[in-house]
Amino acid sequence: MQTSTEAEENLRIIRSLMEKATIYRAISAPAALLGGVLAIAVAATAWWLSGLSVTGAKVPFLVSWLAVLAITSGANLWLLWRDAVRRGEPFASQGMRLALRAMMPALLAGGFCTLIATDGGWPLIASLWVLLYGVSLLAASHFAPKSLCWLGRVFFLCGSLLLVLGIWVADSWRGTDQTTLAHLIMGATFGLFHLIYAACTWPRNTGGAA
Amino acid sequence: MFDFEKIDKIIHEKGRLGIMTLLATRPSWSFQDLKAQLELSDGNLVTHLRTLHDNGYVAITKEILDRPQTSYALTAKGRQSFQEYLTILEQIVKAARQ
Repeated sequence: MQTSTEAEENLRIIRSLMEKATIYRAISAPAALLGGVLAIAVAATAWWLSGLSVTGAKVPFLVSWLAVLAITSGANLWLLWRDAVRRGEPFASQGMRLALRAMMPALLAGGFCTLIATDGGWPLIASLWVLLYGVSLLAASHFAPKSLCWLGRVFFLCGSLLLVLGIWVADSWRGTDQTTLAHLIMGATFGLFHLIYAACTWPRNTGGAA
Repeated sequence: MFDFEKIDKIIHEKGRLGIMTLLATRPSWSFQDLKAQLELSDGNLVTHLRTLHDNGYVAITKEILDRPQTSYALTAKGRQSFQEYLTILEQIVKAARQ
């Protein structure tokens, strides 16, 4: 005979499965791989050029990273669209809308932080981008797969450490090339972490939420 | 007193309830995606899907994309039955709390 306890248990199962079904992977593994490779390539090029000591031979910080963002975001959107078509879902699914709503405030805050950048302030901006990107991923953690939650935690932790470290060592690093330093921060965080994320999620990407 | 005979016995089984719930969240699900979400064996999943299909709750589509793929979707009858099942569960819980 059906009891209210059984009914409650069945409703719990239904709720839990519906939540699982709305888990949304906002970053696909191939897009993370592309972004990681591009980020490391830009950082490596900037480092290499800084060693040449040729006047004017510098990788512009803002332009190059906005280009990496545009290329990676474009690729990510295309891959998400293709995945949605494969599953017979609309591209702007409920999961995507939830993810965008949760992530957007921190991402916009990162964009606004860029406006305060002055010449030589790029390491601070890079650190803030790392921190706020982590916050944006953590904001979507209720309906994100575990791997994205971990990526958010790592970015948040690293961004916080970079900001603290920046305050402590700012004086001793005053003589160093600030733009190259910022490129290296971006390459070591956005580049390396996305490569690790892509490697961890790639084999399981076609199945459930990893 | 609540009439427990109203409960749909086809849906009222953990495996089939899981299938019906997932099918209610998207227009269609592939066999592999259902299996991954529900963590059922191939045999169990096939049996439950067949029961649901035989009762007109689930429609099956077979297509060949880059490889043969079978997808499952709720029929209108299946969706209505699932909604009625949910309503009955809620009524049971409400009745118990009063």
